[in-house]
Amino acid sequence: MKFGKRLKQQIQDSLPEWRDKFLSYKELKKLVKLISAAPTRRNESWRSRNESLKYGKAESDFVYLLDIEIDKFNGFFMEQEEEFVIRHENLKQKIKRVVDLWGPNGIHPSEENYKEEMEKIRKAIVDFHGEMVLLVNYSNINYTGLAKILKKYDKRTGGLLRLPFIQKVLVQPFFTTDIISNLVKECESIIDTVFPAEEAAERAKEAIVVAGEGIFRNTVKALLTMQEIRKGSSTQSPFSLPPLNLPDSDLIQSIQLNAAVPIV
Amino acid sequence: MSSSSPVLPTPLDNKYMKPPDSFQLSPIREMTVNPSPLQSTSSNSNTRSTGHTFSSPDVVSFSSASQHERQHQPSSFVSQTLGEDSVSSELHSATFISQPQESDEISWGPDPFQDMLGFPENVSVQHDQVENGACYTNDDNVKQSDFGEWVDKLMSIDDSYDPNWSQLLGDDNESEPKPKPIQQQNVPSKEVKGLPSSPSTASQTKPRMRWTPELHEAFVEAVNQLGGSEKATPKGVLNLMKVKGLTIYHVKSHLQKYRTARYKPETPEGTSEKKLSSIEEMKSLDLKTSKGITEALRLQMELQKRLHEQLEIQRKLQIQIENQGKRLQMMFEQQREMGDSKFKDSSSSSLDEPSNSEAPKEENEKLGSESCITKAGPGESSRDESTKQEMADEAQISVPPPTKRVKT
Repeated sequence: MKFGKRLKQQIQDSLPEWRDKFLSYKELKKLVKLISAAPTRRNESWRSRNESLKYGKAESDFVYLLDIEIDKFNGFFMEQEEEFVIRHENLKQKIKRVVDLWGPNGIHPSEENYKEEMEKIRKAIVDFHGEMVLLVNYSNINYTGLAKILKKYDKRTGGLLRLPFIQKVLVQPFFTTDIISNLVKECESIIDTVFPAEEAAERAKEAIVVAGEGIFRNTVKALLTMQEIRKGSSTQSPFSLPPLNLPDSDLIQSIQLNAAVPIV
Repeated sequence: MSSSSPVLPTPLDNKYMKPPDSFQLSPIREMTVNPSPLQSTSSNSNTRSTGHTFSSPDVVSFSSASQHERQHQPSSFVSQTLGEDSVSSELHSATFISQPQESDEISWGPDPFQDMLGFPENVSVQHDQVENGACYTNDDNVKQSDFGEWVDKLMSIDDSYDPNWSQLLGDDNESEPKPKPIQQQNVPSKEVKGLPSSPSTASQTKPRMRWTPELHEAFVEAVNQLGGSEKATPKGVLNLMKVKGLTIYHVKSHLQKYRTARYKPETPEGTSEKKLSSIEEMKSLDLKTSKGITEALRLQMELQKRLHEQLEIQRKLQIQIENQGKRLQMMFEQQREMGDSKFKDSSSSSLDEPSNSEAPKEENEKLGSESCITKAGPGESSRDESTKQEMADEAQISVPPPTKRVKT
């Protein structure tokens, strides 16, 4: 139930619109339990019809639900992806406009306006970047959940669903996150141009205090959750992910989530 | 099995467009396939659709379950079992009915999956009519009743839809090089994926387009040419973009999103209101300087970068793990098959005949030769055992080559 709990936590900590788009892990687990509770082999004809029907139903329900979930992921993911693509382009254009208009070499150089706009833009970009990363996280955590539930299924029913099914999942749109990853990287390079030159010093300390709102909070939580999930599998196998090695994990932990700011 | 990957897109291209040299669309969903009946073989498809009403409810539910997969896998299965041309409906339903039983074996057969694995690479390759048949059956099985409805809808959406279509056809050869797929994946830069959120009409009319940055760029350019997001019409944009498989529906919804995004810029007042409390907090913590905010943003950025990095690593790992697993599985199965045939060969003389016929079925010729060895000494237990040994040794040695052969 560890993963289930973590997943629940993640869901709670995620953006509100996203909350019902995650994997219905619990539901699937119930079905697996149901299937293994009526372990009639279809081949054994002497079993009562009812039992084998129940078995068959639970199993088909399971598969059906899996399919529905995958569709859900795909739909949501691609929708978000589309929006991000649009927003990305808009941001770039906006930056261009601001620079062209109020920038030092612009038509109408105005340091004050420029500064003000740039500040807004910076915040927007960072948040945008964060949202995209959270989408990638969404994709990943759902994948993880699927892998786990399939593993459970195979274990409980002795079936061979996992391997072929996961192969299909690997090529699903929601898991092929290259577009978003590219956007994220582009964002990072834009940020470098938009941020003033680095100034060392106490930024970490100050910043920590400010932290804990919105997207940032989500990101911190996501990282921590990932760390937890990969802490060490009770059923270590060639299919298990190694534990997460996060440098600065204490820093992250210290960015406490004493967030008084509710996520809106 | 169809010689080409189970991809549904290009059948449309095949039938109705000249061999495209650039932009390829891979409508995994049948949305774009369906328009074709409007053009020509409407009677043909109608026959198919009516044919499928024969399918039993079980079959339909199965196919709708498989529909939900969002994958070509079922269709590949279908395309394997069904012919490309109008096959008798009985055959359709018969083969379809047989599938649920097979599906009971949990895995839907390794073959379609292997086929599918080839998918990303083959998407832009021309495919033959087989997929065309698959497309039809796929849809028809689930949405036969809705097909007519859908067709009507489509016709009413845009009166000049046909001319659009032929224009797409005509412009086929001059499709812009700009939107050319430049993805590191072998997937073309856009795919149309249907979204069978429910086996109802909704899914048919809501195919999912994957908007890539390149595609969007082309979109924006078209919009700008038409005088901006307000003035631009979906039809106009569609025509300008000249992208295969792009339907007016896609453009419409995308345009809508685009418009909302423009007039709700990235730095809206709304969010600043929400963040007001946090801004207050910041101020109260004596961080009035923009420098402080900037630094905070930097930290946020760092963390996000970190998360993203880890996610990418994790994803790669996951993919690797599964590939490994796949290979292991294949090798394991091979070993088992060889083990089985060995066992059968050496178990008794009476089994010699069937075992001999079995062994040649294996892809490995060596196995066939091994069974010949056994035939030489039937019924003699000691001899059998030694033969078994030999075969075991040979089997060990012969494992590597078969692996190469089995891998498609």
